[in-house]
Amino acid sequence: MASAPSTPGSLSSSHAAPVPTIHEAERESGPSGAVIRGAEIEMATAVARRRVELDVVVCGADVDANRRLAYQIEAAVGPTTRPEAPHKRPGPMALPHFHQSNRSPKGHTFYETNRRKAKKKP
Amino acid sequence: MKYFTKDLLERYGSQDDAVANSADAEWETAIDRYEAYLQTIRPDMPESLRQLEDGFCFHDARILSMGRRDDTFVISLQLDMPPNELVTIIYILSGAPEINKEPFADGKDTPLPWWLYEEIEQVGTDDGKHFVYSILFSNGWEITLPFREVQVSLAEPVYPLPGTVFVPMSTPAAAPSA
Repeated sequence: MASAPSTPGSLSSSHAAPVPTIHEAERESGPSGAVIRGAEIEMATAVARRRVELDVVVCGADVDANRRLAYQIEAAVGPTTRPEAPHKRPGPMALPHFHQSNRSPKGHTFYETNRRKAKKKP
Repeated sequence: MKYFTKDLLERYGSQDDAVANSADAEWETAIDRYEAYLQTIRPDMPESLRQLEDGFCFHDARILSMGRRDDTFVISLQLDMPPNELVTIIYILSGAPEINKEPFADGKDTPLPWWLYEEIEQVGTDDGKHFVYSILFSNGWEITLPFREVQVSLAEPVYPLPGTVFVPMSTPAAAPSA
């Protein structure tokens, strides 16, 4: 496991924030760019999933906690990029994400923001 | 780049939550502003540019090569989404390209370049109107290409295979002994 730099968003907040949840994720085909959230999983499962090039998504109302947890998952796999902001081309429902700085293993750790949310699996 | 700038992207990844959240709001505004601008120039776009804009998502594509000869600039890349098709984009230049090799100030460059964000701009007036294509790469490079025509070709990958990892050299290659 690679050593990780300091965690983004390490400033603590004083209010009791909702705890983010981690979910299996897949990208919806088509122009929406949506990330579909599946079953809730534990941190260790999320890291294992990322190691085999599968996506995960961190969901919740506290964007700071979401971003921090998403970073921790990706950093447990190896050196990560900075969070990548959603681009217009993947679609209006695309989520920001981390991935490995050398893109290996492939895949993403997405996280929800105040404006962008994952879709629930039908 | 005028909308999706390196500075904004660095603030987006700030360790300070307040800075990151402010940048997130700014980023969303930039997307809306850029979308609105694109609609104003779309009627003047050549068909090939509209196809490039509508038909491809280059975000996170791996850059395989870039090169220039006379008024032609070529970028070869592999798309991120399966089936990881190979794309060759040929820009017929209408002016000199600008290549800014400044790394990201936060030092979070990736060792190899991936395509992050692009912008299309229309510049000039009347008969001098033409388009400029700007690309920001994950190694911090920013390329600005004034062009009059663009061509795209697509191929299923034979090599490199999807999932191939390119490992950058961490030290310069040793010079051959005399």
